Amino acid sequence: MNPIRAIIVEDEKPAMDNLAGKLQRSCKIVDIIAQCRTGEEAIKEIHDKEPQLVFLDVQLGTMTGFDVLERLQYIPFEVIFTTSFGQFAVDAINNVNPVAYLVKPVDDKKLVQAVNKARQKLEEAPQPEMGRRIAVPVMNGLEFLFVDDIMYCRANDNYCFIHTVNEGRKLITKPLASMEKKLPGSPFCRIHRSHLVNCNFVKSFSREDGGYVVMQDGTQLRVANNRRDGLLESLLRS
Amino acid sequence: MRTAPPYSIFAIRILTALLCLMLLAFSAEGRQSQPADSLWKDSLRVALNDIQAGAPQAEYLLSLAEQLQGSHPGRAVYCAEKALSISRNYGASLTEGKSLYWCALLELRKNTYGDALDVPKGRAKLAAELFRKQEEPGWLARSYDLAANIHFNLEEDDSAVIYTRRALAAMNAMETAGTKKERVAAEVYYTAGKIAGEAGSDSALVWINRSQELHERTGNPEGVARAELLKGFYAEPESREGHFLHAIELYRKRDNRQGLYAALIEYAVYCINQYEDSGKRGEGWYRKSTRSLREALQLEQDGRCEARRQLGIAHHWKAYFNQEDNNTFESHLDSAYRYYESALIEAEKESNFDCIREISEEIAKTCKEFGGCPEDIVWITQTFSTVLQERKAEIRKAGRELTTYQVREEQMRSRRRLQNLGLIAVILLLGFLGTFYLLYQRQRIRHLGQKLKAEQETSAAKQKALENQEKALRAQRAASRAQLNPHFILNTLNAIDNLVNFGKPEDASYYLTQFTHVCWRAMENSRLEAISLADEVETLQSLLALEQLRLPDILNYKIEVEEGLDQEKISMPPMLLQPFVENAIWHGIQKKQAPGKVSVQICSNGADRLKCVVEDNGIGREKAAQLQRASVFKRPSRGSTIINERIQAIEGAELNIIDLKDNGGQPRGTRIEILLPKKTL
Repeated sequence: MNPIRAIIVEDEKPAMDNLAGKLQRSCKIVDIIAQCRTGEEAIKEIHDKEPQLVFLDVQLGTMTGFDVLERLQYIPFEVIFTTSFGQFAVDAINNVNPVAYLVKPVDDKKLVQAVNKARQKLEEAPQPEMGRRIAVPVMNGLEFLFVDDIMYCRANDNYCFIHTVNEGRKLITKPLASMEKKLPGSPFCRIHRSHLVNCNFVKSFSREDGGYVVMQDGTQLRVANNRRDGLLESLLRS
Repeated sequence: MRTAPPYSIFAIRILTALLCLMLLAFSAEGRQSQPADSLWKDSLRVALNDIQAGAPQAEYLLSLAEQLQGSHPGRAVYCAEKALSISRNYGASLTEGKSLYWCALLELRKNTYGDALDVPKGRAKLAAELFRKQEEPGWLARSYDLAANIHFNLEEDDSAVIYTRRALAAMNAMETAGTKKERVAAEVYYTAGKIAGEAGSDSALVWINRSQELHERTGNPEGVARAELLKGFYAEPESREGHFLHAIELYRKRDNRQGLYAALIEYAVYCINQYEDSGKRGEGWYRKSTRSLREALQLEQDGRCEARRQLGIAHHWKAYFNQEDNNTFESHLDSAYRYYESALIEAEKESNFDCIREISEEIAKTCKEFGGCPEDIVWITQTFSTVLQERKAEIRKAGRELTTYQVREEQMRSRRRLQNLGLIAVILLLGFLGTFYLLYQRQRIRHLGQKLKAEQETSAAKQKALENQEKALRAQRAASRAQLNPHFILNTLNAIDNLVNFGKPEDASYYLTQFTHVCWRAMENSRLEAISLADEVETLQSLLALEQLRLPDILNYKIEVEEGLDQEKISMPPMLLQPFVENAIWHGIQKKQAPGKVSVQICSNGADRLKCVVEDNGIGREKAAQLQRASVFKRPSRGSTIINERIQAIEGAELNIIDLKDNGGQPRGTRIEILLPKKTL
């Protein structure tokens, strides 16, 4: 059995020592490749060391564990949250649907269960598929979405809607520009101040009424004049 | 409209349904071609609209064809044909030449052999003629090269040699040396190498090596792989296998499936020939060939029949060399027939008549070799030879019918246009009726909506009054018991758990008693109105000690009580300072990401007041709020209003919150001052 490469993110030193010690004691399969004390450090280490599993504390000084996930481009690893927060944190965590969450102080038995569950998931899910997973900010927390499931995004003031194939419509609590940053380049294309589309789901493109595309779900989206060339480029050369 | 009798509504509904059905039927017509392709054509139409008609449009189409040739050959052909007709219409002869060249090249890639090459051959020569007149040596060389290739594929070797010579001459006439010339040269040398190799000339390798070098220099890895494969054909016998394997490796690295397929087949053919020559001793060659062919089968490329045909041949020889071993012989002979059979089926699917002919020949050869054919094989071969005849006849007939068909198509199209006009008129009429109906419905809904809204408003007012009452009650209840922060409890227990786990039982015991003290104080809190200052200070001590256990490398603290204050006598509301200390740690120090300090001071303020100060050197309130706003996780605030209300409820008390700034005006912490009337127990 290959060891699971894991990173622990925890801002309090005793809590870090405690979790690391318990992992060494009860879950020998977990290989701790880094211990991060701040969110910023976690973002850097996850990016550099590409762990398979991250133990993520919810409250991390300047930011929360959710912010760490949101600021990463993709989420190609499993997450186990650790928390000492109340019910509202548990709700937010469930929203993300992680492998597990553990309430501190952590029960060894539950820790073993969580690690086993993570191991199972890692064995099932092929890496490339997980590699295309992003974390998007929704009301009070995060949600994971697969990039290939996103049909188009539509701006709504400082928020935006993501329309997906399998999971319906999501309200995102950040402006469209931040989604564009998360989904750069092909097959995504910004066709309007308010629309970002996945070219794989464009059904047809019409020049009438100043130009619009019809998506696979039948929605029509306006194409801005100055963005039309970019869209044509993506549609013709892909 | 509002009192429309029910039967009219019914009629309108039927009409609307009809309208929908007709719309569906109408749109179905446009959906016949593949959706992705129609999207692509739509996009192309829009893109062309923006480009000046004539040569620029054709040039754009050609650049598109060049880009798409690898990924979407069909689309590339479409672009090239369109460019050809545009450039012809506008009399742009240079562009016409380029279009002819591209049409011929793409056609050559599609149909590598046979009669179908007549059109591309003509086009390549026509293009060359145009370029000669225009004095475009670069394009002229390319066109001659293309013509040479077509002749080569038609096995007209003499003409191929002539055109290669012309290509070389045209290339030498190119003025500018540079990448452009090198690219053309690489292609011409490649063709020269191919033709020389086929003629058995020693110069073949020289040409191929030159071509490969140029491809490498101009950064064309596909060309390098192609040259490597060609070396497999014409190099010294001992190094041929190495070249084949290297070519396969190159294609694999580029993930060029079509090239990989061709290379695998060529290598297998080579192995089969070796096997044939070396006889039974050459089992290794047999294994290599089948392994290579099986990989080719998995690639699922065009020309699938070829891999199967070669597998058939490999098994033929395996059977041939194992005639004395009955079992091996029969199983391989059977495999050979099965592969020929499946090759026939694939060839029929691809309409590859050459392949059908070749397989039939192989089958005849195998049957003759081993004395007679299995019945089903005889039957299937006959069927396919009939198919072959029929198809050829069909094609000839189709050619004749094409012109009459085009005329008929035009007539049909104009008739259909008329029909469509009629349909549109009907739809418009129905559309009007539908709109009236919808307007009527909306009117009704609006009326209903107004009624509903009025009802809702009264109930909402009632609801709000109730909610307000509830809120007031909740605030009272919360104020009466200042709680311990639940994260403080859990995080502290976690830190103590760490001490227990990793060999510090005495420390664990110490902190557990501190924790018990704080908990006990919190429980008492709801019962007592006031406690002594000494008790409050002791609780703060325990609290801060526990916080420091949790944050050993971050938190420093100090508690100062003015000397001369009678701590046992002076009274104070229980746990009044605890929330402020907690705020200082959680929001001031922990968000700082550097060591920080919390200090608590208690002193007299005048004769009758007590002054309590909680000061931290953290990030300040503004920055803390800013971080909270930036976070995607909005946790409910602990309600500083509750604490404020608690202080306001004490008569004569006062609360000041001061944002501390350094000399440069940057925040350097927060200072809380609470003034309380001095009371004694």
